Amino acid sequence: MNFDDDEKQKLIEEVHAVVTVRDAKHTNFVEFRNFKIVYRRYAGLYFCICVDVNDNNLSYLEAIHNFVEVLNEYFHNTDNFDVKDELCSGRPVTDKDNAILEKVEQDKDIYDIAKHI
Amino acid sequence: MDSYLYDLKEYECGLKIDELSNPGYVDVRVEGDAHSSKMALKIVKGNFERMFDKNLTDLVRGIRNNKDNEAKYIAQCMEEIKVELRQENIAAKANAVAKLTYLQMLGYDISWAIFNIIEVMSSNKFTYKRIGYLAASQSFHADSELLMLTTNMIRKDLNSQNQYEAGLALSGLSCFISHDLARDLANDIMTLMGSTKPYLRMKAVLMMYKVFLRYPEALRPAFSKLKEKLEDPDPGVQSAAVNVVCELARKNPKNYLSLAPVFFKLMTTSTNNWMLIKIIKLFGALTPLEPRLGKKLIEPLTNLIHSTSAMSLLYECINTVIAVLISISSGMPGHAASVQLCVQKLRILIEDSDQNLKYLGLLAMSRILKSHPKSVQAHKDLVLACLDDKDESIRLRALGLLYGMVSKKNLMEIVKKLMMHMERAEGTLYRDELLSRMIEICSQNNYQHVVDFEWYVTVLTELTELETSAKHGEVIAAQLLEVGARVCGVRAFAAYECAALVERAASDTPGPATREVLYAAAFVLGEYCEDDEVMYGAISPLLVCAGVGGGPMRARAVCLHAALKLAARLLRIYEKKGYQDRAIELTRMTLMSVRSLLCSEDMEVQERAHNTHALLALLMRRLAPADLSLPADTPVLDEITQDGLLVPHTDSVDQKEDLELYDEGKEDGKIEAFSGGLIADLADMFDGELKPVAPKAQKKVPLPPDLDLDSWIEHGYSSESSSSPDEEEEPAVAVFAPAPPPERPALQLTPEELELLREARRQQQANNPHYLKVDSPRSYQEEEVPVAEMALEVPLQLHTKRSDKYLITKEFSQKGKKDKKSPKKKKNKKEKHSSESESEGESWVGARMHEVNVGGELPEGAAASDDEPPPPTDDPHRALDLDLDLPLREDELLPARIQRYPSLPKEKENKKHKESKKVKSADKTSKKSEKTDRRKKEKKAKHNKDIEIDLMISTGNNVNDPPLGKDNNANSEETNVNNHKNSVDIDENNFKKAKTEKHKKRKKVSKEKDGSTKNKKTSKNGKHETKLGYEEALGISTPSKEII
Repeated sequence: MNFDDDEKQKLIEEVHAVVTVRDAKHTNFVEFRNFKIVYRRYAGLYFCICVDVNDNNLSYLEAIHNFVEVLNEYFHNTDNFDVKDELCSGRPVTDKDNAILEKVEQDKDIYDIAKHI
Repeated sequence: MDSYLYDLKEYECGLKIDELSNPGYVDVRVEGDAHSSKMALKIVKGNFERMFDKNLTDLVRGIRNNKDNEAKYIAQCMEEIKVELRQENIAAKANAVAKLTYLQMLGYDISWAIFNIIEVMSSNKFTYKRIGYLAASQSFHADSELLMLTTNMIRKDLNSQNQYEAGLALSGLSCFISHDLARDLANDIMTLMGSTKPYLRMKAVLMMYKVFLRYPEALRPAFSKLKEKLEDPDPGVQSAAVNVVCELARKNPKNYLSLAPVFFKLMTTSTNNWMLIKIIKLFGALTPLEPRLGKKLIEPLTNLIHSTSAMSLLYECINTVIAVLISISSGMPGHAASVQLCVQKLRILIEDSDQNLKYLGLLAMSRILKSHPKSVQAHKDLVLACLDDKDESIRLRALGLLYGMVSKKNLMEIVKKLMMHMERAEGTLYRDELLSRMIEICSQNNYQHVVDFEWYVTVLTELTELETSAKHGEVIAAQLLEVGARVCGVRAFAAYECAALVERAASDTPGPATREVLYAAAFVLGEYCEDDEVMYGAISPLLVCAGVGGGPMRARAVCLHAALKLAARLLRIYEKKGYQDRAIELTRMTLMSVRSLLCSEDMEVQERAHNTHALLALLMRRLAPADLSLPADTPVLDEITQDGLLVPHTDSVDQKEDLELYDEGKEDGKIEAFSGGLIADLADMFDGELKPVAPKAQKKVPLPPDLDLDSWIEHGYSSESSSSPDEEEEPAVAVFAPAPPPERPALQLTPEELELLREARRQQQANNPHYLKVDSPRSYQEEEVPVAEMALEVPLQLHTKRSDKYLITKEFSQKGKKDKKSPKKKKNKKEKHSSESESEGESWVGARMHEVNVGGELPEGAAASDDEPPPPTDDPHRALDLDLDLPLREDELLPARIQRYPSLPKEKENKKHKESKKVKSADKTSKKSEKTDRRKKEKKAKHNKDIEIDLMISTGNNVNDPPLGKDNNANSEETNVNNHKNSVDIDENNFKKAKTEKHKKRKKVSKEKDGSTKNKKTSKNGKHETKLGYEEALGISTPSKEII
């Protein structure tokens, strides 16, 4: 799915509205349009993945965690000021529409392997 | 992100060192050769200038420091970036592009910089290239116009010696690949799938998915390789391949059934949970197509459920087991055990303190609920506990489950709990859900669990008092109407409750919900109230309600009308008892109240008020001509005949208010009392009972082809006009038969008769329903009239349908299936309430049952014949499959991705075919594929034959020359290498494929042995296919014979 910039912005706002109002005690899944959002919060940072309704929520939740761990792995040696800040500063929510999700999925496998090795 | 940041830093450091360590650099160079010194000067100059450029870190800091005028700051940065992009220095450009990428993430448009990004992508330096690709992956779209410029550059990168460059190109490409790019680069990517480096293999495999999406034609050629990668030694590549196949198979599971054995092996051997989840999900999609697969799956899945500690895997296993259980027809041993296991595990999930697990547990429970309600019911306590959860989504899930949890015993308790929730629920979403669920669980299966309807009516009125929204009011109103109409025993009580409700509404400005419910309340009151005290008390509140302003309110006219109904009924009671003064008082009171409505701003109310007023004034003049309440202009009315008065009244009602139907009760002896028959006439207008009927039947009403509508109306009209002088203008519309018609014949409809009816219905579909409604009641009322017997079975049919229509108008939501259970329920109900109504109710129930049975059957048959003009959905597919291997047709076929076969270029197939003859190694597992349905076999056989045809045709051709020509359109040298590789792959592949090939062969041989089998098979293909199949059989038989 490709969105033009306006749509993207709107999407981000919507997801933001849906996700940030939720209490920490709530589940990490929200139904959104025809999909569902699996999100996870790390301090002020939300990671959101929009997935099909049939997809396995838990595995995506773990994928997010995996992703974060890998990010951590990559950056804890270097000065991680830029990266983390960059995600934090611009938008509290990084939204990943399906196109990006694909990338994340690919990454997921890479990280998976990284773990294996 | 990571990489380029790092690179920037590196570059920055380098720059500084450069500047610091070579202060005399410029001077030295100036002395040298003029040209080179000029160049050097330029470089150094560029470097100097760049010292003052912002890098990405500066940009981020800058944006943060300029929070107040961010837009202005960014606009300024944009200008700087544009300047930087104009420089020739690639480092400057890369820096600019990096900044642009960041700005793009903030939502700024950078599409104008595509060309610059491509420039940076084409840099020779990896660090810059990386920045370029990152920007491209963020900002390019498949429809970007300049993408075609990148084809050769990307190809170069893909074939780069550096695996990271190739990997970079793959990752970047995956984000913006277009149809053209996919077409041109598919071959290169396929080559990478065979790379020696797992890193590249994996990326290439994943990339192929994107290629397939954009360029479906690539699927067939690439499929064999993809399949091969399922058994790649590297776990990463393997899991990538599993991912790709799972994604593909999710959309078209049936094309991937043949892969089930491979996946089955993977599932039992792999320990990679990510992969297992994908595989299990895939199996979940496959089992509905192949139930036998499900049986095989149950055991390993239950093992996994027992052994795994990963919740996500556990959840997926349970999901698939549920899917399997649903697809397998019952009667399987150990089936109950696995359900039990699932439910137990789910219980653990729900009991977990983690909200996510709780949520998922409930979600999966609801799936089991559909097929195995009993096993879920055992965990009622758990679900009820979840209703008190803090999280709304969990409560909603639990609510959904409640539907299957209620029983006669606990219904009241549960509803009470829900009512409490309702009172303190804050979110409208949750409230909406609560209310609809509450009504759903009460009304499910035709009120199966409602023991006490008085309770239910009370609940409904209480819900009204909660004053929610108008939407809710509608739902409640529909329920009130339904209960009132269908449960005779509770009518008196319902009327009483409704009276109270109306009174409350009259004394207070009603809220949005009450406004809607009033509609139903007024109707129930007017229709079912029997107690004269209640009636008397309700009239004036009703009239007050009719005068309530503030927004449109459909209930107002109904209120007024109900008041008239009540007044008429009450008057009759008084007349019978001889209470003339009471009657006069009532009439006077009503007249006075109605008068205020004569000028109502609501048209409908006004018109009815006038009608009511005129009627009552007429009556009043008869009762007490001197009464003060009479309008001054009565003389006008005097001249109007009674009939003339009544007709407009009924007219208006009929047009606007289809719920209100009047019956000309055929009262033989009119009571001659103080009103001189006027009251009786008035009351007669509202006599009769409205009956509920099965839904959806109105449009299915059959009309016999020989029925002459005109003659019917003539007869009915003339014969009835004597008994009911009240309505002459449009008797047909208003007439309603009060007496249930003889039901027996309806049940005795023979199949032929039914068939006839269906036939008739088909012909009559276009007919105006009004005509149908018109003739049916007539036919009952005039059974003595010879004409009425003309088409006996038809009128009966019509009767059931006709009442159906009323049901529809009342928004009855009950389903035809559920109706069978209802009679018991109703009977129980009736017994509890009143013995009086019992017999009436019984007969009514009986009638309804008939209706349902008859009405239910017909629609089904009719629907089967009308709505589904037998289009076996496989037919188009099979038609396509016939041409699978014909080169011309391939283009058409591939976009839909329906092929399940690896589409090797022809020469490969031929080779394979030859080899498969040699490699007839016995493979036991081939039997598994035999189990797949017959159609698949046929497909295979056809497929195989097509190959043979090709073989015959292309025997003279060079074997190395692929007919598809796809492989050799790129650089020819490369292609040759590729082809070579491919063919090697295929040779290996053939061994794996031997089983299917052998199977195909066997099939083919059997066909050739017996010519008649062909005929049988083609006949199985269905009428649609016969021609094609026949042709094909002809075409194929020749070559195959030649071969043998």
